[in-house]
Amino acid sequence: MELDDLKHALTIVDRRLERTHALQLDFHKTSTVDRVRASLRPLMWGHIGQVALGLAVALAVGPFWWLHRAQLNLMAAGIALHVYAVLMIALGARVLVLLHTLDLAEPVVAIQKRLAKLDRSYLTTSLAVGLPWWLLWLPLLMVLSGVDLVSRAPTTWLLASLGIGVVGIAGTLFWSWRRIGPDYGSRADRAGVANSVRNAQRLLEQIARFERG
Amino acid sequence: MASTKSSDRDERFSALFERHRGIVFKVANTYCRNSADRDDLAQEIATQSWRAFDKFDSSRAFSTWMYRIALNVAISFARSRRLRERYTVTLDEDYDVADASDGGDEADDRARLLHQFIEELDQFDRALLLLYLDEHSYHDIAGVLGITETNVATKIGRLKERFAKRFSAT
Repeated sequence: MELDDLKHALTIVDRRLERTHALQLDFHKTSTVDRVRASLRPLMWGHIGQVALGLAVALAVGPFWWLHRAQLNLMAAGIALHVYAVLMIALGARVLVLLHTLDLAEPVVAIQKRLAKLDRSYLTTSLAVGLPWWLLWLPLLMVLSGVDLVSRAPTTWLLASLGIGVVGIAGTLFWSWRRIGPDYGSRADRAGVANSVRNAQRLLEQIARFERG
Repeated sequence: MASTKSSDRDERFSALFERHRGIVFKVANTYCRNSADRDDLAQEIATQSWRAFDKFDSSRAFSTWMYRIALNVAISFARSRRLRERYTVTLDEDYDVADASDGGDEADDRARLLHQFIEELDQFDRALLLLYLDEHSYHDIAGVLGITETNVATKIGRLKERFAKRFSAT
């Protein structure tokens, strides 16, 4: 039997199912089964929250470092937080634009690639937003207290804090890399971000193979 | 004025959708095995198509446009379902509804073979197979999937070989 022999089979199956499932399709149904949008909703709300938080931080620290222009360390602390806030806004807005401009009528490979990259970006964005806090806690304390902790604290303490921050960043990156590896992960992890990223990565590999031919 | 425009839009969409309604069922049947999932998916395809209709370029073929939406929705649907269900649903009894006018036993056998083969394919090869069996040109298939015509031809050749090897005794 040849593959072409199945062409008629497709028509028969469809005719049978149309007959047995007289489905009334309601175009206006605001669907409880809008799975495409529903699956993207956590991503969307997460990034809306990120943009909102970024705006709040930027508005709070902007005046601070401007007012403390004469105190170099306090100004630097304020600017560091301001730059971080702007990055948060930019990363969050980028994802929101990608989500908003998603057009399901685009070719299949292009859309599925974009959806998989959006899923994968969840971990990248989480790292970009979370990692800096291994170091940013100090500027935050300075901004909140208005005290130049850099000049007042002992040098050894500052160096130790910086060292811990760098080790923390490296450790977090390594742990994240292990989580998305194929052989790692507890039962709890399988339901979490790591699993989502692994699945997204697998889909991207599948798409790449399909595109290659 | 706005409500007249809106009802014109609904009428145009309904007319086009009804003419190509078969696409919804073909895609839903290809990606779902039980009737509840098929109905779910068919409804979502209809809703997403209606929502996207404002961007439809009427100088282009509606069937191609609708196939893209249907397949994108179906593949996303299948992904989210696969993450929840870690088992394969065996042949659904719905497929065994026979009718003398459908060609009888031979037709049943071919329908089973079709679904057996589909089950073995990944989401993208399923889309390719469906478009091929629905007698779309390589050019149209390439346009829907977003790959080159050469790639389409190569993949169809491989599917034919795979099918022949798999079901050679049939």
